[in-house]
Amino acid sequence: MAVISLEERRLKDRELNPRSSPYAPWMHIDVLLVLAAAGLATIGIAAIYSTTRGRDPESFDSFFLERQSLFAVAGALFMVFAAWFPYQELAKFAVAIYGVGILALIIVLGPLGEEVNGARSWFRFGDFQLQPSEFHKLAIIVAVAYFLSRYEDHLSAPRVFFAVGIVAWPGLLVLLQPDVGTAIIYVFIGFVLLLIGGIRFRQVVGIALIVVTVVTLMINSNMLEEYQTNRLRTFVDPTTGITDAAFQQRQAQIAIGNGGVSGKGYGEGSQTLSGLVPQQHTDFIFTVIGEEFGFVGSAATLGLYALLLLRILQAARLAKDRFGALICSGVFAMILFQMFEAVGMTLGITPITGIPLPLVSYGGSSAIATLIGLGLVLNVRMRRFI
Amino acid sequence: MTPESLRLRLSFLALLALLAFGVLAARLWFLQVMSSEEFENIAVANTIRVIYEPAPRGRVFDRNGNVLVDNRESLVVTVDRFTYDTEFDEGEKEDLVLRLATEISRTGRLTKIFEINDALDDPRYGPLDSVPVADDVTENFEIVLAERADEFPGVGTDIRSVRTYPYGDLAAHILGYVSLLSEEQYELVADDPKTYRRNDEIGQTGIEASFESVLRGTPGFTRLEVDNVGDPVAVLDQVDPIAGADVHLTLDIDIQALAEKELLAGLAEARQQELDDPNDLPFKAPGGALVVLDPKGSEILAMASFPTYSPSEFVHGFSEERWAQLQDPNNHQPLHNRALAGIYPPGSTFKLFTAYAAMNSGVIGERGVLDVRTLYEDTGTYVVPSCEEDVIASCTFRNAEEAIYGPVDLRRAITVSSDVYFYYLGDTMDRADRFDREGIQRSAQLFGFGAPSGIALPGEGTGRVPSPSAAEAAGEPWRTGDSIVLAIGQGLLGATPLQLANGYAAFANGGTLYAPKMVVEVVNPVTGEVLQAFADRVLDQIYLPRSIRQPILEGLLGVTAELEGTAHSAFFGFPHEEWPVAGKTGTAEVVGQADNSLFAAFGPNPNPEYVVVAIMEESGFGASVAAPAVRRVLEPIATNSVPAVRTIDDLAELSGTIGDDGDEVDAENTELESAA
Repeated sequence: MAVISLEERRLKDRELNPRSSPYAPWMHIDVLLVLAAAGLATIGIAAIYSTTRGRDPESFDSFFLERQSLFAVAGALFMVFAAWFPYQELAKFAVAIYGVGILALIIVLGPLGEEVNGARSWFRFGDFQLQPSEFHKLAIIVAVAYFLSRYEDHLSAPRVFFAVGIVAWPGLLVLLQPDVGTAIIYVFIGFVLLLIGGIRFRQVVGIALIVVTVVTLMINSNMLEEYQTNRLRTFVDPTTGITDAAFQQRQAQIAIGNGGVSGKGYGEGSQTLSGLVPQQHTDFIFTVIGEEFGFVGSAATLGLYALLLLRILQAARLAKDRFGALICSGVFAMILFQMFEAVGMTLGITPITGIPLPLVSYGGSSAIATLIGLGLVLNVRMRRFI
Repeated sequence: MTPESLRLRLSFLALLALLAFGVLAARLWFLQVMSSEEFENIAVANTIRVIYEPAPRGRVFDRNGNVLVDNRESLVVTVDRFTYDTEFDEGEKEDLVLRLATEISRTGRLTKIFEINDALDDPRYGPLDSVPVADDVTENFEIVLAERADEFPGVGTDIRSVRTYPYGDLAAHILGYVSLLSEEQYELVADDPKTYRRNDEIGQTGIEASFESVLRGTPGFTRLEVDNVGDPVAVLDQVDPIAGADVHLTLDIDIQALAEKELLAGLAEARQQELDDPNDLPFKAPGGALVVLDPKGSEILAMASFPTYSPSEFVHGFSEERWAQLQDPNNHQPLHNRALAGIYPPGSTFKLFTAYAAMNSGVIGERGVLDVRTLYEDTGTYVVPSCEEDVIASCTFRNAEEAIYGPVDLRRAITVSSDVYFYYLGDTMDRADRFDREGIQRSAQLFGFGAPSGIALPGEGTGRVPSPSAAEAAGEPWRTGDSIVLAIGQGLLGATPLQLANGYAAFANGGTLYAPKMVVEVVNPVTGEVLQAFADRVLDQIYLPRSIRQPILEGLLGVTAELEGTAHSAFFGFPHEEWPVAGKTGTAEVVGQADNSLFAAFGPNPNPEYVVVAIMEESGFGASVAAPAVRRVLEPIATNSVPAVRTIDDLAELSGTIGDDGDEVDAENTELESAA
């Protein structure tokens, strides 16, 4: 009987029965990540129902509840799909995906796009709206990851500029909608990808200087809509006057403070019941959690995010190649930044921008895009041995 | 790039995430654990709106059930401040106010532009309140508003309950007035269970102030839960307003009307007196007081003070100039209630209490310097024995008008008002070791001088009873001359008209000093249930045996009834037989002014039911001004013919009979009519 090495046996196993092999991708699904995502989505659906069902117990309105559940289910299917095919294949489509995304961002600015709350960010398909800028986050992640994964050594300045360009064009298109929040997410994703991709410290400083200059010019020029400068100014000095933004931030903090340690109880938050926090089911969803579930619930939610991000970071560490590690880092950056901003603005520590809380805020595009991103992370992790 | 470098860079991401979570968790801890109580309070206030419904204020009645203070509805024009402030620029604001003033005036209530602007600037109203800018508008304005609402955005009407005074200005000082709370007052009542708001009214003087807690109703409220635009979504609870309780006074409005009329007439007469000597100080007679009370319990039947004011003026509020006028000393402070806050030397009306002191301390008596019937020779002057010029400024004291009364006993000394007789009593008590040096002071205090009488009205004066011990304590000299002038009610002695009347009441009723009583009971306006009844309040029992009371009483009876009595001419023709009146004139000297004219009286003797005291400033002799006025008050009482005041016509007739001060009378008449 021939003695075969472990390596040989491993190869043999794979040939004979790929599904039962200990290295088969499906054996390495990250259950904790999936559970954390499912937990957050559940909290989100519960919070959305609480703030949108209305006051009349005889006839609660379940419209948003049903829609968000549908988005979650759809998002889960997309996630499975994103995890299913070998992620390395994505490299072939990176340019195409990016191109389609840019096209969508251009078209949405035209007559086909729909304007909501002063921003032309949506396509309408019957009862559903699609926000291409949400999906383009993923296109940027894949494109930049693909571009940077091609170079093993430190990045040269032209490569850095090329990478910045990949982020900048969609960023500018999104600013034209105008949607500053999403543009800032793009910038942050790009920054993190460059960081992981091997940017040098002096290059970071250079880029930072440019970004600060541009942002300062933007705030002081008329490029931003009045409500956006208001939001930023309000954050800088809340005592300048009772503006809409100050009101919003004030009401958000009252809601969260009102929750106290244990919360007012599900469906019992007075700020939530009275609808005093504007945009509560979307960008300000965290105020529902804060008011009704209190510090305990808020901390648990943040804990789920921490778990999710930890698992993503681990997937990046374990990734078989630089492409995979960069994809995971991009998704990490996307979720971390959105979480920090969307929670931070309800707590009064970051300016108000229209950024959804990933997996929790109401909105199909955001939920599905985030779940696709997580699917990619699962994909990278489970294919680490192949 | 090496795998190690990638790991390092991923670790940097982990650090970034750790930092982000740290910041969020710290802030969450601050909001939800450290300051959640504060936010919970805000959240409660955020969703609850309280709508107050004011409660009607209690009414005030006289002893016979006549309504003295009532409520009526006033139609008020309001401007919604939020609309006004947010929807108009300066020009539009000016235009709106101009059109509003024009339109309100056109419908019958004269309204000036600055009145509306002042109201709109009133800091007592919040930025979301509806501010009342004109009251007592006619219903025609409501019609205008209904037809042309779009021309007056934010303008509305409201019904407000305001005070009305069926008897016009009568008893204004007793009833007092209500007006908007001041900031200081708001602080004081902020925790009151009857929930005051910044634009509420509060009793400022008189019964309105001292019975504020009773008269004020408890406002009702509706607590609404509201949504983010302030629309109610649910009624949390609702409490109906509870009307304030009614207050029933001891006052008799008929006697009050009579007292006010005669006080005014007396002052008018005083001004018309001719001066004996052109160099004498003029009789300005700017003010005075007249008090009528029942000595059996010191129930106040009437209490007049002049000059007076119109409480209904406060219903609309008034200009700063008008307020300044009311405060100006040159206008003799119409808001000042002289009857209980004015402090006057009582003059010879005080001799009753000196006489009591002398008898009680033994100066007059079997072992005293005089017996009751001992005749003392009044030579017109009293020279203090062994007086040294350098110790006492003047050793010689004279009778008023340099009169010489010859032999006088106590009874006659009172009847003719012999100052010399009383100088002797004062001097004896001051210097003779075997008598109480402060006998007069003790007597004065027994009869209630030098202390607030305890009437249930604000602003009462204390008065002054000077004494050797007090002077020594203050490091000031006390001279025999001080005791001598004290004996005739002069010097530093000061008493309110009410104190004087109450002291006479204690003598008249046989020695019981009561706290003057103004309020009989407090009654629930709906059920008629008596919520609070006020019994007579005895402050002191004064030792007043017949042996002391009778000689003094005889002297006082002589004042009005005997030919040589100082008030004989004033009471000539008075029904003395059926209704014997005891009285005492007083002519009190005040430095730099004409004398104050005083008269104190009680009757019918021997069981008096009425005490009347009149004090008229700068009016001359008590006998010639105050005594006739008191007689004119007592005679209708004695003959049971006090004119009943029941209608506004009665009032107009009453004030119409007061002749000389044309303008004032006209003004008052107008005020009465508008109050109707």
